Amino acid sequence: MAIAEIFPVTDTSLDLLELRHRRRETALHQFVQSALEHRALRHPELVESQLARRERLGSTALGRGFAVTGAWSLCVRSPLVLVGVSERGLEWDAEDGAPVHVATCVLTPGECTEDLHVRRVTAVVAALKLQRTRQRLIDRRDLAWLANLLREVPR
Amino acid sequence: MSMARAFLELHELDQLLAQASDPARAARWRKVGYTLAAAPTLVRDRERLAVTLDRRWLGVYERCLGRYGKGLSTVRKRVCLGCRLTLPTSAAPPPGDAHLHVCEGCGRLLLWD
Repeated sequence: MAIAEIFPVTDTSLDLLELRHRRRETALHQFVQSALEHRALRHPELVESQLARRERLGSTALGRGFAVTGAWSLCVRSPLVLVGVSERGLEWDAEDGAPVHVATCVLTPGECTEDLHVRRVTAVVAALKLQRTRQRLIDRRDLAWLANLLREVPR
Repeated sequence: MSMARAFLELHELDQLLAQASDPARAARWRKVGYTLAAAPTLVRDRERLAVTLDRRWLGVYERCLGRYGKGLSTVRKRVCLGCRLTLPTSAAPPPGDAHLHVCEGCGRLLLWD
């Protein structure tokens, strides 16, 4: 018997946000609120503090205006990738000191393995690694194009 | 704050601390491009949270944390997602009840969905 996995027509496992504020903490709050709207979280305040605590282990900014944060948590109900764009740039405590223009939040349920979470984060980093890809995202804000770019992210 | 939520926070903190302190796990993150440093403030957060918890439940949690790497497990459709044991219907707490329960299979604290 052949078994096929059917995704819903409107796949809501990805969202593109306009990050309106300048501070990292506010951006993390915006990510959590968006995930809550997708019903991907329980105890959103715990997820927010988890993301803030993750930053205390070391900044999740990877340099050149790009940051990928995330949580592998029992508070996450379903996998979700949120991509935020900020034209003005966010203060993210990056090693190179550059403001972050593209920030991503990768949420993976705690029931999944940590290995899956690392692979999801790695896939997002790989997809948005190129400066010109991120610039195109900032210029066009095209969710369909972004979804195509992130199609390799394991679910 | 309910006891179940407090243990959930403790679990999340332990997972973060393990990412930073376990060399193999930290190495995987460094490979992606992150720098992970020890965070004494997180250890202090954990200590501060742990003293507020019931010592009996904390003992159960820490025993499972030491044995399995996780002291807490979620339950979905009556199945403990830590050990995959189907729990009896009578084990389910009444709706809205946030009391702590222990899995009969693996002994982890249970977080009912």
